[in-house]
Amino acid sequence: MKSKFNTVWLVLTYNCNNRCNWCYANSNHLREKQVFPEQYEEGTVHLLESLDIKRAIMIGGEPTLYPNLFVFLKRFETAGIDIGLVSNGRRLSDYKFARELKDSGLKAMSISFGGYCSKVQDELTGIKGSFDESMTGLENALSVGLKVSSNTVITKNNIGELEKMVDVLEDKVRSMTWNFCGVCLSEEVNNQSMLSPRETAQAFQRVYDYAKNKKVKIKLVTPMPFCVFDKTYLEQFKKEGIISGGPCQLVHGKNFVIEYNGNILPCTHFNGFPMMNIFENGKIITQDTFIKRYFNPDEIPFQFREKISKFPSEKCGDDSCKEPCTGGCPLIWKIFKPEEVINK
Amino acid sequence: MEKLLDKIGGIQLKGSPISYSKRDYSLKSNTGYCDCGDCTSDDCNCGSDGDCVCTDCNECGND
Repeated sequence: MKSKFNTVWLVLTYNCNNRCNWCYANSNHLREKQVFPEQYEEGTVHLLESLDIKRAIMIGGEPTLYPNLFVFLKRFETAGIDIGLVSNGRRLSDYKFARELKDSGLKAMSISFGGYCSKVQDELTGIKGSFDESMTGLENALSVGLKVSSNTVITKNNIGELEKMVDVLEDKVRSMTWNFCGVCLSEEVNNQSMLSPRETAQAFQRVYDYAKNKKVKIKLVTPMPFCVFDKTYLEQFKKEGIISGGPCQLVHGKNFVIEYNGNILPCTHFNGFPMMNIFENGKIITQDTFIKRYFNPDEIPFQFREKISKFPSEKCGDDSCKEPCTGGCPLIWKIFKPEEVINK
Repeated sequence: MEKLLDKIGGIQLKGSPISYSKRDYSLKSNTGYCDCGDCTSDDCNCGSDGDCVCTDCNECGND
């Protein structure tokens, strides 16, 4: 039987040692100390194993701040679930920490960079010295044998310097992934660094040209409406596989997020708005209960997917458009008007 | 949890429901960029019933 699920993101904590103002983890209600309870680790791995989850990615906040990280990683390795880690890399500036991550079964990770030098990144993260620590962390990750990609959110703050980031990281990372500065469902998150979908597309096209000349592998991971790209670039992107297409995970539901408190979110940008919860009476719910709640038409997850599974514009749904993007991330349309973006 | 359903009412989705039967969402056959590793040529049924598992998520460092 084919698995109903693919990837799960685990928010081990929303605590972070950086203070990036665009981050979804930056809302006021996430400022308290919030950490995944160790008592639920074993049950969570067991649940994900029984759901035939292929990949679990530890995220935050900053997942390396999770006190029991090495043990938790080991549990996943033992269960045969592929694990990943998205981190700012600062704690890996301690070589022993990087070594222990590798020894705990981690094979690949992504390190987030907002800028290309101390002056820029330290201002973006609000922490002096954060860029140097992230770079040392990257070097240490490579030294211990981890495969590393970089991960950058394209914002108003760094849009003019994306090429410089390629220059700094080209010899170190396997690939560079880029993200649209995403909309969050919560109004508490600061959207002031956000670019429009078209501005982001233009910036990505620019960095694509630059990276291609340097033979650096790049990817835009946020699902975008394909019509925001220039046609010649779009064809190239599709051919080379560097943009995401197909229905967003909000629509197909094959991926989900588990928060530190057991809440299940459709995506990280829905913090504060859970679909269901897996903690119950001091235990983790069973596979049967999970499946029942996730797919039952009377329950919130099903109703959510049904409600969100609409094209943003009539122009997407008619016969004139054959692209597989389905309008990109539905959350884009919380801020931007489809009639001002789609096929413009 | 009901507030999730209320809240997404604020998202402007003005088109028709996404139908898997009316369009081919196959990333592999359409565009050649299904590299999730989950769809092989034998079992990829992307688009046939909304069962595409390709998310192109390599944020974790894995391709």
